[in-house]
Amino acid sequence: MRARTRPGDTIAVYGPFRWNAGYEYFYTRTLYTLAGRHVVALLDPDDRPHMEQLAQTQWVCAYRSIPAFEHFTVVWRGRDGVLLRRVP
Amino acid sequence: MIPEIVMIAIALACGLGIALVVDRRASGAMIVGEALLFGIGICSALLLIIPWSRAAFFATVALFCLWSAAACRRFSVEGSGPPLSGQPGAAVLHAITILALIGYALFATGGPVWEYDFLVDWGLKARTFWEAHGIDWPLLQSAWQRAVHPDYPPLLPLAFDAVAIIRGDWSDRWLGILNVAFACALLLIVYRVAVEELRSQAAAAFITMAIVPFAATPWIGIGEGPFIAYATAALLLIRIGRTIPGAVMLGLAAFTKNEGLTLIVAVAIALAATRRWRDLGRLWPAIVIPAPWLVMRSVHHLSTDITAGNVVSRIIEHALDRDFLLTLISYPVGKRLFWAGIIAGVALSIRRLLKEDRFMMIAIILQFGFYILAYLATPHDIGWHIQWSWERLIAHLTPSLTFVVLVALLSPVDNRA
Repeated sequence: MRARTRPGDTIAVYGPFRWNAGYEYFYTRTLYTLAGRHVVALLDPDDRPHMEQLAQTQWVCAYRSIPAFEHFTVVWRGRDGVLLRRVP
Repeated sequence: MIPEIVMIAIALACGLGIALVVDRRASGAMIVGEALLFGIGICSALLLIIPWSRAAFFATVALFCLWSAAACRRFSVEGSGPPLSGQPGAAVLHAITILALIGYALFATGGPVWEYDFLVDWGLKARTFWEAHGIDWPLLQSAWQRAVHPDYPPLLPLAFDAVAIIRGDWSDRWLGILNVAFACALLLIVYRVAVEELRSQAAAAFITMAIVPFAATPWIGIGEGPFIAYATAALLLIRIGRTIPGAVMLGLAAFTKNEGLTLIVAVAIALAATRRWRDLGRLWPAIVIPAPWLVMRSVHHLSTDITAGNVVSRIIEHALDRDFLLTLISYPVGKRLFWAGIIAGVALSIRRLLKEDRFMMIAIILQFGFYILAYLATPHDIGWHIQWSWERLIAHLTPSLTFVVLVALLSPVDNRA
C-alpha cells in the first residue's frame, strides 16, 4: 500500500474490529508503515465510527475486509486486505 | 548492516574527543564505552541543528572526528592505580560475556524491529522525521493516541535517522544492532568502574557478566536499552566522583526518556543528602543537554500525559485505591531467583551499602519513588499503565542495584571494614 500511495496522501484505515479488540493496534501500526502519509482512523477509542473522515481521504486501507464505500473502488488486493481509491 | 556499523564507528570517533575532555581519568574500556554513548548523543543532537543531507551530516561528523583526533594528541590518558596482573578466571568470564553478547546481537538483528512501542512511538517518529527531513511538529502536535508520547525526547529516533541519512533511505532491518552497541558501551563502563574499585580483573569480569542480562534488554528498538545505558553509566560515574562525565550521561538519559528528568532530581537530592555540595554544582551538563528539547516541546505545545489535568486529585484518588498495590504486585518485575539473590545480597552487605553507597541507594530509591508517583498521577487506566511499563521501569534500576550489591559482596574484607 505504501508503494501505491504518495507522501502527503490521506489514507483512512478500516478494520473489522472494535477499538480495544484490534483496531487500535492495526491503526497505530499502519501509522508506521505509511509514515509520510496522513493516516486517519474511522473509529475512535469509544468505538464510535467516523465515516465523515472519508470525505477528505483519497485512499482506504482495509484489513481482512472489503468495505463498500461510495466513491471508492478496489485498486489492489492482497492476502490480508485491499486498497481502495477514490473515484470521481 | 553496513550503514548501522558506519553509524556506530562514527559515533565512536565523534565521542572520543568528548570522552577525553570531560573524563581525564578515564582509561581503557571506560574511554570506549563513554565515547560510544557520547557519540550516539552527538549524532542525534546534530540532527536538531544541521540540514538532513548526507553532505551536511558527514561534513559535521568529520569536524568532530578531527577534533577528537586533536583531543587524542592533547590529552594523554592517565593511568589509574597500579597495573593489574592477568587473571585466568577473568578470561573465562569475559568469554562468557562475549558469547552472551553475540547471542544478543543475533536476537536483536533477527529481523526488522518488531516491538509494538517501536512501531507506534520510537520507530514511528524516526520514520516520520525521516520523511519530513526534520522534526515533524504537525505529527507530534496532532498525535492523540496514548502510545505515541509526542513529548518524549528524541535521542533514539534521531539516532535511527542518522542511520537513515548514512544509508540514504529508511530501513528497520538492522536497527536492532544499536541496542547491542548501547549494551556493549554500558558493559565496558561497568567493567572499568569495577576493576578500578575492586583491583581484580576476575571480580570485575564477574560483575560485568552478571550485568549482561540487564544491559542487553529484550525490548529492541525502544528507549529502554539506551536509557538503561545512559542512566546506569551516569549513576556509576557520579558514584565514584566523576561527576562531570556522569552529568553528561545523565543529560543524555534525559534526552532519551522523560524518566531521565526525574533521575536528575533523584541524583541531586542524593548528592545533597550525602553532602557532596561541590558535585551538586557539577551537574550542570545534565540540565543543559535536555534543555533545548524541553524548550522546543514547550514552544510547540506538546502534551505530557502524566502532568495533564488535575494531577493532585488523581494522585490522591489512586493512592486511596486499595487495588493500586494489588495491581503493582500482580505484574512481574523480573526473575524471582534474581530478586531473591538481590535481597540476600542487600541483607549480607547492608552495613556497607548504607555507609559507602548511600548516594546510590538514595538515588535508586528516589527514582523508584518517582515511578510510583507517575503511576499514581496517570490519567490512563492504571492497570493498563502498570501492565505495559512496570517491568521496563524496574529494569531501569536493576543494573545499578546489582552493581552496588555485587561490589559490596566482592570487596576485599579490609575495604569493607
